[in-house]
Amino acid sequence: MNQNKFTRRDFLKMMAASAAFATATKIFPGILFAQNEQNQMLTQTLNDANLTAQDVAWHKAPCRFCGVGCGLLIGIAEGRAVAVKGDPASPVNKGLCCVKGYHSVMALYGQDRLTTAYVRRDGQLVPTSIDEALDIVADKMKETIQAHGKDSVSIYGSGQWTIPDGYVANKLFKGAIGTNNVEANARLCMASAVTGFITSFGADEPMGCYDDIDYADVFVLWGNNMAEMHPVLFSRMLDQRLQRKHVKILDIATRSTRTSLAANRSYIFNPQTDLAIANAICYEIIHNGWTHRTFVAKHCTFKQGLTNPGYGLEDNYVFNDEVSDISFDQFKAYLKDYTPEKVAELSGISARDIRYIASLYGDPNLKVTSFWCMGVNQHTRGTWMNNLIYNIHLLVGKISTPGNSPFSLTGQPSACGTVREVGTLTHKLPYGTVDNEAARQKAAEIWQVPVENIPPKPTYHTVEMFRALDRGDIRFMWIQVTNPMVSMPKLKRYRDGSQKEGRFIVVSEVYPTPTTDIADVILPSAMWIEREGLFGNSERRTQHWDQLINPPGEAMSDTLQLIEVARRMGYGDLFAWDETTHIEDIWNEYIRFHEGAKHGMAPYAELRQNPGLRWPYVNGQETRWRYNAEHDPAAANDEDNIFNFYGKPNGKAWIFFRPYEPAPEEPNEEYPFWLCTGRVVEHWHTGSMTRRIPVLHQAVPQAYAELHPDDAKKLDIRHGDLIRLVTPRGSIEIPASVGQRGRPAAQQVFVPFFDESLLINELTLDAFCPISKEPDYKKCAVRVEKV
Amino acid sequence: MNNNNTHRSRLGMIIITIILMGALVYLVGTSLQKEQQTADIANLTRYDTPSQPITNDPFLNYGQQINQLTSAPISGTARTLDAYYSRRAYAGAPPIIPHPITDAYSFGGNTCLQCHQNGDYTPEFQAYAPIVPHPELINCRQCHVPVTTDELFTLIDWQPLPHPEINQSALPGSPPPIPHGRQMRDNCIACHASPATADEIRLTHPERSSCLQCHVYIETNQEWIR
Amino acid sequence: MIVKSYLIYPLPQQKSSLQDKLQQFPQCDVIPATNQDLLVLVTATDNQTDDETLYTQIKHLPQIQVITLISGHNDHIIPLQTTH
Repeated sequence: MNQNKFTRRDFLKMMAASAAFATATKIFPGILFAQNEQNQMLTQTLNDANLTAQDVAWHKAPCRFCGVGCGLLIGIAEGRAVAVKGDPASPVNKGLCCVKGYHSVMALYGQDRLTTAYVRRDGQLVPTSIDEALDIVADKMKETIQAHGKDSVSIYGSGQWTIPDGYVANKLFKGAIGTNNVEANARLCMASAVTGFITSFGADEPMGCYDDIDYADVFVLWGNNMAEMHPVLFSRMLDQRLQRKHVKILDIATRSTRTSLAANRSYIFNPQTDLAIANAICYEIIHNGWTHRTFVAKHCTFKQGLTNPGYGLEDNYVFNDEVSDISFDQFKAYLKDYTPEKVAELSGISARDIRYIASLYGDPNLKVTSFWCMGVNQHTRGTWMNNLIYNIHLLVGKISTPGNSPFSLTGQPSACGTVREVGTLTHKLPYGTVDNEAARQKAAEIWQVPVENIPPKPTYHTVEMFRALDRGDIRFMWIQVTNPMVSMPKLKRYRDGSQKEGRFIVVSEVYPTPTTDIADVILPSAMWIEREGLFGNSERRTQHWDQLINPPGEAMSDTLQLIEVARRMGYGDLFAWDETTHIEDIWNEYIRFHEGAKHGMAPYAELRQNPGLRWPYVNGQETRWRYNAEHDPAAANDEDNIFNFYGKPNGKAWIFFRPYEPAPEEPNEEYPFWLCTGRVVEHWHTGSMTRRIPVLHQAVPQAYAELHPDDAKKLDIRHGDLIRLVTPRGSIEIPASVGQRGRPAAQQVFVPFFDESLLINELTLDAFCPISKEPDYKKCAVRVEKV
Repeated sequence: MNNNNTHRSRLGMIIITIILMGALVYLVGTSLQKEQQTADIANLTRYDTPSQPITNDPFLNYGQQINQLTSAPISGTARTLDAYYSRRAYAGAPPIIPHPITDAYSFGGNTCLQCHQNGDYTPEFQAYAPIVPHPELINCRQCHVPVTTDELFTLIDWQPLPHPEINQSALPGSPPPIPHGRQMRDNCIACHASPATADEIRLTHPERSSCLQCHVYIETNQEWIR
Repeated sequence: MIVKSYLIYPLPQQKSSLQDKLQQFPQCDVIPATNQDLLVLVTATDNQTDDETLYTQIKHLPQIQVITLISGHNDHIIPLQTTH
């Protein structure tokens, strides 16, 4: 980092010089300046000085960053991306972006872009032609399968995969090679949302959409700093509050943030007690007679699962939930432990406040939308927490209608489109799960492989996959579009494991990262608008973009890398697409999985023309509210019911009793603070793209540890002081942040995880939700020491 | 008799109380109504759908939040167009925040807009605050971020869309066209006639309020061919 | 920090000697035009006083025919860690 320090001073000098160049050009047209390395950049600006705003062609593309899926217009001039505007035609953001979106194209031009492949030879990464590198990857994969079996090779991607990337990866590994070792970073991000939807409704992804924002009267944010993490949607909410004065925003969180400051009410609860709060809201709804009796009788059924399932801290942990029927009265009886008074004591939110929140959910004249993201999902009881929010909405019948929506947000641009819909998780196929024979038949037919190729048993979820790599059960891992050596919890174990003798790691990347540091082969990837692709956002909207610029050097899209390796392994027939039309061909093959009213996808030609379309796409129409016969053709039924939760066999959604259970590791004498990790608005995920954007890096150049002012005073720590954070897993020294943008509750610490030189995940715990297998990055015990 | 008196004075008390309560209800009612009216008026001058691209005439937003329209250079630290441009990564990018932030634990409406809504003089910086052309968007730091370090993470090979040439009048003296996009910047007055305006783009005639009557957006540089 | 750029017209035949002179100031970057008698000078100084001193020194160099200021930047950039 230090050898190429380009300072702000240099930047200002560059700007000043280019002004002089421009003036000189006006005086002496055709003037030339001496070129050397130092002022090459300056003269470049001169040569482009004749470019005007009208020379720029604007093309649509979804934003590269979060799961909101804003529509951007990218300005292209002379083969380069030079500017960004919000796409006024996109119903998602209506022309407004956030600071990451506006500067997103700058992430294409970091000077350390990987433009050639690298292969590790005698311990050193040596530049190699991409053809040779792809040969090596294919040979190594074949060799590993021969020596250790099919289940010794694996692929690990993310919700940043485009839909074609994920589809080809799934087809290659599950269909051609015959292993279910396909996982994605989305497991660390929204797996609990998936299992929440599946257990409550039998079908994944939200029933509502962003249009709910325009109708809702009350917004309840569960552990979700939307002002920073989903700012564009947050601004849409603020906009509604400005126009309709009665609109309220409630923030229920463990830390006070910009969202809390903007909200009408802010409630700070003790970590993990959200489970009890949600149950207390249900208690209040039932005991005040706010239950929507006909809705519940017609469309819901009551269930319970196993309790005390553990936390997955040990290798080879297995848990299978057993669901049984209960009656409404039993459900009501279970809730007796969750009176507002009892929960107030546990959670730190007063009984009066709990009653107030419940009364808003219960008021039949108010439309309520709940939003949540990582606070609920990255939770050792994440699936339960998702179930509990659905319980609240189902009890009062506020679901699947405009403005009434329990809405699970996502963090990655195609977490829904690629991971959830294409099914790049070990147990999933594009349609159905691997343990379902009909689903395997369908996949085999579309993929044109023998059905025996697809193993009927899921293998490893993400944490277990890295544990298997450590143990040696997995020998080969291909990592694409993600950075696990920053993002895995309890990082040291998994980093050490990946570097053991006999492990082979291939990394497809655009920049050097801590993950490429451990790679045996690095493949340079074409990024975002350097290739054609499709993303699917949180509201079931699929968005297409064309290739707008050329990738640098030998960089190649992840889709083509996978196809090239597949061909080298002898599966060419299955991937016989032409390079010019392969994205369209893949899309046409893929959407055969989703044919029908429940999940129909829009045709390629429509997607190219529109700023995204929401599935189910039936008879040329998007579906905005699923399970609602007035909006969703699949919900039509014989009994003239408006609602039909057709994911479940009898069309009834499940209301689950899920109790409060403590976190696996809570503050104690030795480690007296809670540690919570998260993001800031400027940086996205592990920062490998956003940190290369000058505006964003210069705003937040490094991670920090937020402390409550009282704790800081007690420990004699001032803003900017270096402090040491210690957990049984490790320790880091990091600057303290006091009185800045966020304020944790007393005895809590918050650290953003984007900084690869201050790796907070060395400290986090790899406990996960037993149902979703999603780790909890928000809670573990930590000691704070002044350095 | 005594009893009667007590009754009478009680009745009197009750009547007085009722009258007082009536008056109170009236007062509260009318003042609420007034508030409602002013709120409605305030609403009228705001955009109905702020996050949408605004294609209506900037005339509507004329000087709505500006205390001081000006065509004359103003005292205090003057800014040049180059200074404004140096805060943007490319033409049309949201500018960075070039000054220290006194209270980071805050939200736009309570801090940033205190100075940037009306463009008042700030003694701290000895300058007039530039006026935000979109004051209805209050999550300021969604798009505007401060600078806390000089260094970069890595070098970047970035060639921005250059800032447009100003004064592209077709004939000497004819009204120059608008060389930038309208998105988020449809309130002409905010940037062209406030005390913080750079001299190069300062309006000479702030008293004329229908900007689009004479100034048109440049949409293309191609000539019309029949 | 103050960053300024200037266009400098040297006296006839003095371009390269002027360039050498200017390059002796550590605060200066010089980019000569290759097909005209013109130099672009970029200066970066820490404060107003330094900037004025430097400008006085440059202004009195005998090889200069005309020097014109093109753009200037004076910032109130805050030190690291003031705020996030």
